[in-house]
Amino acid sequence: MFEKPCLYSVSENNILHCQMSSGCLPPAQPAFILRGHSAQIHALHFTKNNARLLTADADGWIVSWNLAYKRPVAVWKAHTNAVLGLGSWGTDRIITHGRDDRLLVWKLGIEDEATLDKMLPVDAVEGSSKLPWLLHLLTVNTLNFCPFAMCHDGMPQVITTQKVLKHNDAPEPILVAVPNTVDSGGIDIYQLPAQARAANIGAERDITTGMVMALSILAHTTRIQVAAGYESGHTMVFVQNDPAAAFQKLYSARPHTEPVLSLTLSASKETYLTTSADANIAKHPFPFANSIWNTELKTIKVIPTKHSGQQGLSYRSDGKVFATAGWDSHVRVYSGKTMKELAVLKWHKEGAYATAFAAIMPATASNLHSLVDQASTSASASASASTSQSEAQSEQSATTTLDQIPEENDGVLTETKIEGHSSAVSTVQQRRDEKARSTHWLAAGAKDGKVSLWDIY
Amino acid sequence: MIQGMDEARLKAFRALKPPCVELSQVALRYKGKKAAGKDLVNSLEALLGTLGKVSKQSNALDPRLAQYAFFPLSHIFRDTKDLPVRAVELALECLEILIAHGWRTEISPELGKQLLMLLSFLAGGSATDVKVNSVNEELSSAALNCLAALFQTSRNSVLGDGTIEPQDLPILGHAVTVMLDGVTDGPSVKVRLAALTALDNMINATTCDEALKNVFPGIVSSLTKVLSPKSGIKPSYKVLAASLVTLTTIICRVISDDITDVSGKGQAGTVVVIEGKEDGNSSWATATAGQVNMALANILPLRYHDRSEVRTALFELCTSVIQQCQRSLSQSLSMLTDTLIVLCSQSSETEAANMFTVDGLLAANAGLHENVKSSLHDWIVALPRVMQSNDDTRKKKIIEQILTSFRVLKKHAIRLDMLDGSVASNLRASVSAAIQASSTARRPVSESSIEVTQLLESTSRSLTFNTALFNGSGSRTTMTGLRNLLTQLKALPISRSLQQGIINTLRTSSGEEQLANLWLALQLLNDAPSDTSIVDQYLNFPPANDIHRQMLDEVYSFSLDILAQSTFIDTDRWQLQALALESVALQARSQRYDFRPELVDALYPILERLGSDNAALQQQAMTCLNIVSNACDYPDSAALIIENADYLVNAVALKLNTFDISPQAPQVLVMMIRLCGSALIPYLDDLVESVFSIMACYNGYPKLVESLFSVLDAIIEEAAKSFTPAIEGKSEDNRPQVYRPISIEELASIHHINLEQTSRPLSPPPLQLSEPATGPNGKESTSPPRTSSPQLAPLSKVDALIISITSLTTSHLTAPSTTLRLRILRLLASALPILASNNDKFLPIAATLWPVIAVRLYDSRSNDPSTTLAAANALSTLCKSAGDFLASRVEDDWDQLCKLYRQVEKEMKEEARVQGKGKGKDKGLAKAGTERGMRWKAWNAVVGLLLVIVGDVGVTSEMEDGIFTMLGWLGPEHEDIRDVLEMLNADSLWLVEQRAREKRD
Repeated sequence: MFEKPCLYSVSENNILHCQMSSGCLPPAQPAFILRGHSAQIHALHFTKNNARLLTADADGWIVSWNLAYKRPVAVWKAHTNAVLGLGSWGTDRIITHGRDDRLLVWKLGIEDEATLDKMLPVDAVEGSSKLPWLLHLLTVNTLNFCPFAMCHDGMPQVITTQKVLKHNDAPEPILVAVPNTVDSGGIDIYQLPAQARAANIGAERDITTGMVMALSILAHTTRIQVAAGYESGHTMVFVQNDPAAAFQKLYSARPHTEPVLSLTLSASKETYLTTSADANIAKHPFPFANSIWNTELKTIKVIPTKHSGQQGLSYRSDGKVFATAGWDSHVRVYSGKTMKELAVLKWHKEGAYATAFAAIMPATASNLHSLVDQASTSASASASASTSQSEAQSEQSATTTLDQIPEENDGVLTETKIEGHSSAVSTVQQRRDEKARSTHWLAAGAKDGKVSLWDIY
Repeated sequence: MIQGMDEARLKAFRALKPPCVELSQVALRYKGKKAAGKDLVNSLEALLGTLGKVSKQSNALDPRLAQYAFFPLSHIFRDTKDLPVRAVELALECLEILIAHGWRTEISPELGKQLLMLLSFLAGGSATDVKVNSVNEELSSAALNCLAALFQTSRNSVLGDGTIEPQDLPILGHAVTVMLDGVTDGPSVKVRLAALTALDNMINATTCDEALKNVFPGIVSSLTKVLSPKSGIKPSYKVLAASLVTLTTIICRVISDDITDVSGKGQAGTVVVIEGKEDGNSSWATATAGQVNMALANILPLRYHDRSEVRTALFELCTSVIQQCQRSLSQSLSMLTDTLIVLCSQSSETEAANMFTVDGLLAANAGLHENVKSSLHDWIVALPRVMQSNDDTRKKKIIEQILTSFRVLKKHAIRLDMLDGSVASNLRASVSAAIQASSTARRPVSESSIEVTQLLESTSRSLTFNTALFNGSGSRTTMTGLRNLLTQLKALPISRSLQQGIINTLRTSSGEEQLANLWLALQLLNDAPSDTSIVDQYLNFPPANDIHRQMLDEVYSFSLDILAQSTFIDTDRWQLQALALESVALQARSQRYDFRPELVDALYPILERLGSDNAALQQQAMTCLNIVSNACDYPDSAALIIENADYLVNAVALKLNTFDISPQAPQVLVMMIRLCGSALIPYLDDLVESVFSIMACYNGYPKLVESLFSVLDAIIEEAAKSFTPAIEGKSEDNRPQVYRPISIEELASIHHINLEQTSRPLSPPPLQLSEPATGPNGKESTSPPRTSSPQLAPLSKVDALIISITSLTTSHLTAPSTTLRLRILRLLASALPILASNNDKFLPIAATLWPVIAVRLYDSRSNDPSTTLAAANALSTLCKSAGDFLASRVEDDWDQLCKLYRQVEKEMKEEARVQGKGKGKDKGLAKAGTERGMRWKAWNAVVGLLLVIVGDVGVTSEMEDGIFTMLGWLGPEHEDIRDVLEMLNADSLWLVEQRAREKRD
């Protein structure tokens, strides 16, 4: 609703074009297959401005791939059991969530990669891998297979703390939602880095929902809003307007007859999608803004796809398309607006479990990155790389105040100009990185332990 | 001083007097018929000798002495007709000395005129008579020499200073005619040269412009006649050069700007005064200019003359005319500059000097730039047409000319904007024409397609590409020329737009034109712009490097697209692929280490071309690979491949996944597996699946299937290599059959237990390790737990792959193609030992495999023995690996096995009988294996299988009987069989042998 209609029409055209041409073209082929996991892929996550792809498998292995080189830069066994979810926090923190009841926060900046193992799980001997620096450990409930959900903590920070945090180059605090440790129908919300439970949503008393299967969370100032999918096929939205108040149920629906498998917020944060073990994909309202007219909340759309068992929902950052991973081994791409099936990507021979889109970078942001990255790659010390990049990212997320940065940044930028011209070598590198990052990757991981990279749409 | 002079003169006089007196006397006597011609000649010779001596003393001769000496000579000249030619000749020589050293400049006009007439007459005959007598060659040359001397020494005085009297003009005219006749029709080179010298001297000597103007047309036309190559006889180069010099002189003398300019000024200023005259002058000048223009046009083809002397003279002509007659002969200027460029482009030895002169000319005359430009344009436009022709020298010439004009223009920093468009398009057209012309030679096909691995090992370390285009000997030079031209172009400011133009059309063009485009682009981008001006670095322009890089990127990505196309489809366009390989190498060279990530896309296409059946392309790919591994800092190409095996796996997998059935993909895969060894195998699982699915669809294509199987073979072999220690270290402990022969009584203590256990073959092995029969590894008591569990984890992926290979192959065993079945059976035979190391996984497979293979064995009785052979071998391996696990299966199948054995034995004997003809049946069996037929081999394999069953699987007592009936008769002849049988049951063997002996006895 905030998006201009013309944007949609453009995308519609593209999509139409794609559909028309798909009739005559040979089936799409993946651009690359990342081989190296010996167990099924459970989670995928693009990080570091699309420069890295994190992949996690059922044995607890995490691999960070350099997308320009398509090679691993860090491999470690994060969990003793299957990994449920992956996330990145700030520039150099990786969150992994495993079935060994742990939610771990690792420090993995670009500069840390040099010290880590690159031996892929297929070749690696168990227990020998070096671990990145572990920052936080939360013990959580993982009975439900429900991956964690996270968002930035909207709570205003005390100024002094912020200063201290900033000084430490620490990213801003986040909230993490996971199923309740005891009551598997309830939801716990933790704050990091405090590692304290910030809120709790109890299991629904009136309806038998079963376990929580999938979560999404969003916070703004004191308001926290959570979308949850349940074993019973229910999905609900809860909201807490200030820390003292209890969570209220804003919305409840049961679009699915089977357990909900995955859930994702749309790019605009106004709706969310659910998939389940049945064949439906449903779009729901996520009434985050205090809109008056949305008095009656209804399920927006339910699409019967005839393909049961789609999971690994992921939305592309521009909201134009989303993808699902099917147990029938096919990856499907749908239009974000019409929810029509746009493409079926067939490569895997076994069931697919996870998808991820590389973030679409706005042109200006990417320019800024290229400039900043010139500095980072040409500067010999990789430490400066991480800081400048972190600045770039914080600028992109536009949450930190921009006013404080310019003085520092100016120096960096002027330096870059000079250095960038002088060495043609680094430019080749930069261009390649830039190209890898600006590619519209769709990654899909499957039971066969392989991750296919598709360059489409 | 004067005294000295006088003294010298006196001496000279004294010296001259006797011969002079004598001569005049002899001449008089001769006239009166009193002296012979010989005397006259003698006295003339004496005079000539004296004159020669005297003339050597400086200033000894003076006009008066000359006059004195001339007197006797005049007798001679008076009667030239009656005198011997030799005498006249000598007289002329004397006269020459007199003119040159005697009169010098002081010759009186009167005498000069007379002499002129005389000499003209002597040289060419009378002006009025039409060739009365044929003029003697020597004589005319002497006369002409004299004339030359006369004109040279006497300067202005021959025909008077300044203007020549109108009545004297005919004299001059006659002289000129004579000289010109000498030039055009002179009987010998000597005469012609003499005439030319005389003419030249005459022109230089004549100060009267009017007179020269009168003779000018005649001179020019005669000289043109000599110089224009149309005339059938080829004149001597010396004559040509001299003529050119003379022509230069006369043109510069007559219509140089200085002279015609007077008229220009007159017209502008003092028109009134001498209007009429000046008018005449200017109109004459324009008319003459036209004529001269035509004459020059006829002459200029001489620029291609072989002798550098001629070309130098022509060069002089051009430069002089350009310098001195720029306005008067303006219409010829373009022609002349044109010629200058051509001349510069030709002569290598004098090039530097010539170039220098031309540069000077161009610097002085900006107007000439346009001329050069337009001739350059013409040449460029003509280039494609020339390229289409077969005339290699012409091609070379025109390229040289373009090259030179670019060079010239470059020095003067002339903007060539107008050429931008035409250069690119014409170059493209030219190169494609050249390619067309040279492509008559067919592509070289390598007879035996070398296997990729071998190619890698042979490692020609060459880092330079052979030329993919222009392979004819003639076109080679053309290519070199074009290359030079492009090198030159690179340095020019227009190169940027040229490159851009070529690269822009890279994708839109097709066929030869595309080829030409790519070739041009490669040549133009070959080296990075060496000097990026400092200004570029500081101003905010995109640096030249940047643009160069962008263009290179563009070419590179285009090339990758070309290479990405299947080699299957594109065999005809191999040249394009070869060039694409070159551009990949170029990119690698320019990016060096940074090229490594590009190998994701680039490496496979290169390797794919290694498997091409086109020798040239193969070579090209090899070179490209060398360059790339060199540029990317790998020690050699094998290291390159090993380190980038992941990229290659990806590329091959994608190829196979799209059912691209070109033979290269399997070839590359095999090569990678060989190079990387078993480390690669864990990554190949989906490839193997693809291989099998392709095999399922295309099993009717033996070559393809063959190549796919080579992949599987390679996988199994490499896996086997890494497993070798495991296999060897593996104990025979799960081979309880070794106690099967325990009918041996010595083992009394465990006798009973043994019997019990061996009767149930599936039971675990009893701890009978002290048995002598356990073979070399009798100490394995602790090994079963150790071998199975720790190996399981790390090797599981390889194991899984091989298991999947074996299980997938079995489904293909039913395939109708015999060869395919054979391959599978052989593959299984080599795969099974690897799997055997992992009991938990292997035994189920063994269980499923046994019936599948066994069916082949029994079924093949009706078919061919080779299947029997392969199946029997596979089963032997299976039995060896699985040990007693298969005992029950064997037991179940025993009847069939026996039936099979009888069948093959019968067939074998039949075959032996047919083969052995006259010889005894059984003796035929004993013959060497090489002579034996397939039936025998099949039989032998079945025997082998039975022995393995006995040795490794174990047989029940009923089966034991069968074994002895079947194989017992072979015991005496075959040591190995006997050994096995003895181990099985020595008593039974003895019995069988005993019976046989009895029978024989």
